[in-house]
Amino acid sequence: MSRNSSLPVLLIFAALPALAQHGAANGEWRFYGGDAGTTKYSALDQIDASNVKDLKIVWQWKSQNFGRRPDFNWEVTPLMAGGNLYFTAGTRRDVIAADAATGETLWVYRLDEGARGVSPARVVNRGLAYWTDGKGDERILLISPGYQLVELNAKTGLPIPTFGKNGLIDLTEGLDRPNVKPGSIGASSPAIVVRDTVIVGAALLAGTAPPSKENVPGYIRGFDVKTGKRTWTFHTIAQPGEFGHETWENGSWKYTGNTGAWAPLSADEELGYVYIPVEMPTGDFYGGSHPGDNLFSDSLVCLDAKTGKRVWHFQLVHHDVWDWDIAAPPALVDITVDGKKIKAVAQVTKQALTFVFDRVTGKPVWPIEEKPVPQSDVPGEKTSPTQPFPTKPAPFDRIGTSIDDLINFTPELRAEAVKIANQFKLGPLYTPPIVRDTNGKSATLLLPAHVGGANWPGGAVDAETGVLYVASVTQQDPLALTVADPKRSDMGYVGGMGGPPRPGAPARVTPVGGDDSEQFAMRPAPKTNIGPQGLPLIAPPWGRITAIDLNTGDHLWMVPNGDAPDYVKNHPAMKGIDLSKAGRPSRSLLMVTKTLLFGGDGNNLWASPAGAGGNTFRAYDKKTGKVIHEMQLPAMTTGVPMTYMVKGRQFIVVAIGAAGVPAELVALALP
Amino acid sequence: MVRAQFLLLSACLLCLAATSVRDGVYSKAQAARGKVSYGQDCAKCHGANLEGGESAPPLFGPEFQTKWTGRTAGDLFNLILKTMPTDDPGSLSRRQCADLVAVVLESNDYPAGPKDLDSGADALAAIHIEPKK
Repeated sequence: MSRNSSLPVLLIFAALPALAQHGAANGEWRFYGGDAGTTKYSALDQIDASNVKDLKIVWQWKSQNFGRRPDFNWEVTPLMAGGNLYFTAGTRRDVIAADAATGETLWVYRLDEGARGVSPARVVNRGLAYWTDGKGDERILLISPGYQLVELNAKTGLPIPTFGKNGLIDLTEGLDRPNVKPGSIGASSPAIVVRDTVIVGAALLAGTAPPSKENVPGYIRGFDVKTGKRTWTFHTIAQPGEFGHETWENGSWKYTGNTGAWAPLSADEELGYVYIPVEMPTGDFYGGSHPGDNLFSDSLVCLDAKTGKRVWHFQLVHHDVWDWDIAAPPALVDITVDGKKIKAVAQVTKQALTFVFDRVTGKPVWPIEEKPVPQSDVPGEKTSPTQPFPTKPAPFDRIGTSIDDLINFTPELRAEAVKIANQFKLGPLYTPPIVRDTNGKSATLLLPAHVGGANWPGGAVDAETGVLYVASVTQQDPLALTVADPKRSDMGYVGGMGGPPRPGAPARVTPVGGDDSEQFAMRPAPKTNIGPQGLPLIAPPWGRITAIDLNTGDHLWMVPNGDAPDYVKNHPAMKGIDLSKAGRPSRSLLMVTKTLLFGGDGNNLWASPAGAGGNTFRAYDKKTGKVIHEMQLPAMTTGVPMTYMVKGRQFIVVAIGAAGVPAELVALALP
Repeated sequence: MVRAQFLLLSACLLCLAATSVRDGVYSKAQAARGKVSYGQDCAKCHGANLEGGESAPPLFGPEFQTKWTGRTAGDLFNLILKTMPTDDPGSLSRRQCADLVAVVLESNDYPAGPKDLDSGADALAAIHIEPKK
């Protein structure tokens, strides 16, 4: 009787579109970020503060033999629909369906793209998209390493023959370039499906020192989910006659590329809108080849998902020369500000700012002020006189560099830190890079650097309370330009980073325990270690989690991401110094439920230097940030965790891996 | 006496073996082979054209020259062998590492020669990295 009586309720659920702002629905996880709004929120509550200590690994799914060589940095988050998990696996990005209760592999789809997929623009991948008509037709969408859109029958893993050409669409077509070289464009994040439209972004080669100012543009495209027909293209580089075209001066719209959207996309299924976080143009640190504000680079763009028409946009960085492109998925949440209900979208950034908009109109929830910023003196460069600063919320990490930011563990270390910092040009946020060795300074010291602040993991937002949890790293980096060798690049100037210090500067070596002396001396230095004696230059915490109430714009709490990494704890100069709140220089990958906030130590942006991440997985009190429980996983978390309920049991599944430890999924549940 | 002659001969051979990256110590075919490995295992961090990336230095130009001048091809080989790729250190064969050294040398405009770079430790240690002429 009770089973029968529940049936009409289930049918009502099935008939309604999943509500973007309400988190993952019905105990499933049908989108990369839980729901279309990338909240990474689930209302499940079986695992709570009273029993989380009993979590155990109940199954593991190993990816070691998928791909030419093992994947160690698996940024995947599986989808769960109808009791099945769907995820990409291995460096070839094979598609797997597995039983969500047991981890048993149900089917595998492997696409051998030949030369096309050998050197993809992006090796890492984060997962898949799912579509259903609610009547039994279920499909899975993959973007392959070689940039093909593939649609599979979710039940069988076989390509849908009526989609594109036998289930495949060549995404390198339609990009306004006569030839698109294999490996020049791809995707690391999945597509997103809004109603019956699949929206595809793009990830291109990084542009530290690009060989040319000319590149492929990362247009955003919409495709019919049933036929694969391309229904629209949104030019992220405004073409003649389009809004913003004048922001590409000297005809630079013709040849400039990149400006894709490599972070996960978000959408509001009720509104039918998709929210696109757009990358910067070609050349991460020099924009002399494309003067102007460069719309729609570095913008949050809201499009009508059915037509691709722009509803609104906001450019978060004008003429970016810091590689502060929009790297995190927009988070959609409904909030109440001064008694007024607002359908909001919050965008966290690499430079540790949070921009909050009414997602229907694009109007800022709190004023965003255009403020004067320092200007570039690099020949040929013309930086924007102003940049936008949100009046609220406050930055969630250190921004800009000054002597006050340096480590201060002992007077001696402080003095050394000051000496090192004085090699560099310091200044507020948006201080541009300099030409190497200008006015006695070797480089601009950026804080956050281009791999600091937030990045693709973004944050998780509690769909019921409107609290955003964001993970960030306090990552500084010297950045300088050098004249490009005309034989190698027509960019004029190219960026330089990493590598050795200038003669006479302290050595960048990493005191990692347990290595033989040769390896000890040669291990590549973690990016934080430009400070005294191989220590970080900037004071801790080096990794943190910040809770921001989006109803008020106020920070609620900030906690460090665990303690210091081993390479700092074991440093002789740190003997006797309390580093328990120093935070690991890695982003915690966050997921939030009705009861708890979950996150591991995290990996780093790429394969971490040894000791930068950690194997601890934690459950936090959402109101205070207090650690309720922590446990050790077999390796570092590399993907955002997800959760679901199947057969009356709540599972948490997360991808893990580390240097030398092939990636796997681990499933946690109560006994 | 025989032993002394042997030692003298060995020393001379060593003198003759000591060479420079300017002397054509790798072959073009080897560098081409190495580029395939590079694309599969190195480009994701060091960039498609060895230009460096978000977390890895460029492998040519002033930064490379400053770091490696005065060291040997063996030092570079050992770094690759023991620490690369950073997510799976130790997974490349000696031959692959020698091919990758060839890629780096070619990218720094050191000339190719008739023979492959040998992957033996002694041979590599005798090749000095000197500034470009």
